[in-house]
Amino acid sequence: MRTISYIALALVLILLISLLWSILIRGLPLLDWEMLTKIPSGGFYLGGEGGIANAIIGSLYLAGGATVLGFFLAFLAVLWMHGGTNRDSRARRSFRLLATCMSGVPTVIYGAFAFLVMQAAGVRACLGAGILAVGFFVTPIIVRALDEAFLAVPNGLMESVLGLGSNKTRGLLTVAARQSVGGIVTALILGFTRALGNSATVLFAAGFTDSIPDSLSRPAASLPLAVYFQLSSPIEGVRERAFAAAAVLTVLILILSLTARFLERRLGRYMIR
Amino acid sequence: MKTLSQGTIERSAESLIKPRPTVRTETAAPFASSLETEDAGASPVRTSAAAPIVTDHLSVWYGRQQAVFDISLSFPSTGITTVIGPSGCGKSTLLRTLNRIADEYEDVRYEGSVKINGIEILGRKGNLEILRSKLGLLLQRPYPLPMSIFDNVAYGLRLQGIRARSELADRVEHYLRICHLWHEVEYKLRGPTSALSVGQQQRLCLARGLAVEPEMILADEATSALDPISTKIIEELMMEQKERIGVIWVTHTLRQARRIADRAVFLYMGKLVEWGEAPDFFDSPREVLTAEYLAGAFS
Repeated sequence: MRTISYIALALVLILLISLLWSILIRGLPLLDWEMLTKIPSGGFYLGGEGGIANAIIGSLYLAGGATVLGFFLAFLAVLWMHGGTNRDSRARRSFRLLATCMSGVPTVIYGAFAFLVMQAAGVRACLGAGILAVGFFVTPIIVRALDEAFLAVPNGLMESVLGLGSNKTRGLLTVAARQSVGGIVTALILGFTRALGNSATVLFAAGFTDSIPDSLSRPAASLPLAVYFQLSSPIEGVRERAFAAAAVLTVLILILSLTARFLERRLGRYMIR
Repeated sequence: MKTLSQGTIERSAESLIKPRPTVRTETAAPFASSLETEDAGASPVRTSAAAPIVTDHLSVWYGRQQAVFDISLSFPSTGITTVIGPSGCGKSTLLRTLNRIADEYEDVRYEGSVKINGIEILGRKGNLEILRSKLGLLLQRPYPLPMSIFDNVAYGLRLQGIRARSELADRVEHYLRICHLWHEVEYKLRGPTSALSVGQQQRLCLARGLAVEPEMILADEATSALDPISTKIIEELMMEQKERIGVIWVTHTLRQARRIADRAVFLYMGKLVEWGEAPDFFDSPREVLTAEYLAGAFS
């Protein structure tokens, strides 16, 4: 049994390291200042000049907006799930199941749905629609993460707060939220990284462009799509450059995850165990 | 001095517990030893006439399962009443019904009545926050709030609308002193509670509960997680407090009940078997079941 688990561990490690290695070793050398700060100039996808600043900024806009929207909705939903009395817990359990199912819905379904709605409303692919669509995509994911964080708060702690004369909402905001601050940060980062990696929804809702969007009604580029478009190029040099975009995406997510770990430790100073 | 904001007084006026904010404003002392001026001169009376909490044919269900059967009891406003009985006999449920924390459990249903200072508390919604702040709760193990030692004690005070920094500091110090904790935490007030031992944490929880000036303390096996020395300190603190506020102490330990009880209540399988004044209850119980339990025939 132990041997099998060691083999499995080795396989996972090999997979992870080779994935990171192949992306970083091919992508990082191609990363220069121009790649990071310039938008594509004529014929970028044919091997021309320019960079992927449009995709980097577009992705940050999309993921940032979607995370803020998703966190807002999810936090209110989780307050409902954990507030009030336990009496209607059947409704609560159903909602939890619903959120779990929804967080498993493929991104392309959200994209297709957003596409239908936008078609009906006569809206073209743009940053605003992208933020909305991706926001709805990350909401159930953040709901589940926040829910788990709040579920981990001991009953005795909530009883203590209520016993002091606090109402439920205040107890949740001032005590349960503090106790689960690590989980809340995790939920935020999880939402952001999932939004950052989303490709199918943004393809339909936000479109793709070579410029940096200056308003919500303009289309926005994103890193996963930049990787996709470059990889599908027939030109060898352009395919190579796709790894630069992939490296940026990977490094961004890596930095975010490490920041989350750091914040968890800092903010969790007063957590009770 | 602003002891209670006007808002709080108005809220208490419609509350379920008889409000006595006027006492606070009349006596200039910020920490009047007792809110109950009418009892101030009297010796600690332990008659049902002085009982602020009276349960009448109280039954509690969790869904279809009945946890408490038809209990009629009264708890006096001073002294320690211990509630003893084997596990699952409804002790904790009874305690959690008095401050309606039981509402937090799934499908709870009450029948009968619980009156606190003559006011029915099992009725419609009412103001549970004020009810609960009047009945301080001390749990099996300490649950410090995830904030600094100072903020733990200040939490309830802030709930009552006290914001002024100097007043908060004074009161926090006062209640930490009451719980003999001040000298141990004086220099780490802003630090996390994890720096404290379990016994110190439980005293912190007591200080936090006393800071909102409850009229009763509900202790649910409050020392079961503590070492003997910490247990002794908590017991001594409660002996000090019982002179001015009532304590209802659910305990598993018979020897502890003997040590601390002014009165004792014996529950078995959710039913009230016997209750009485302390020495008599332990020395000459009326019921066979009580005698057997006290003798250790079952636990």
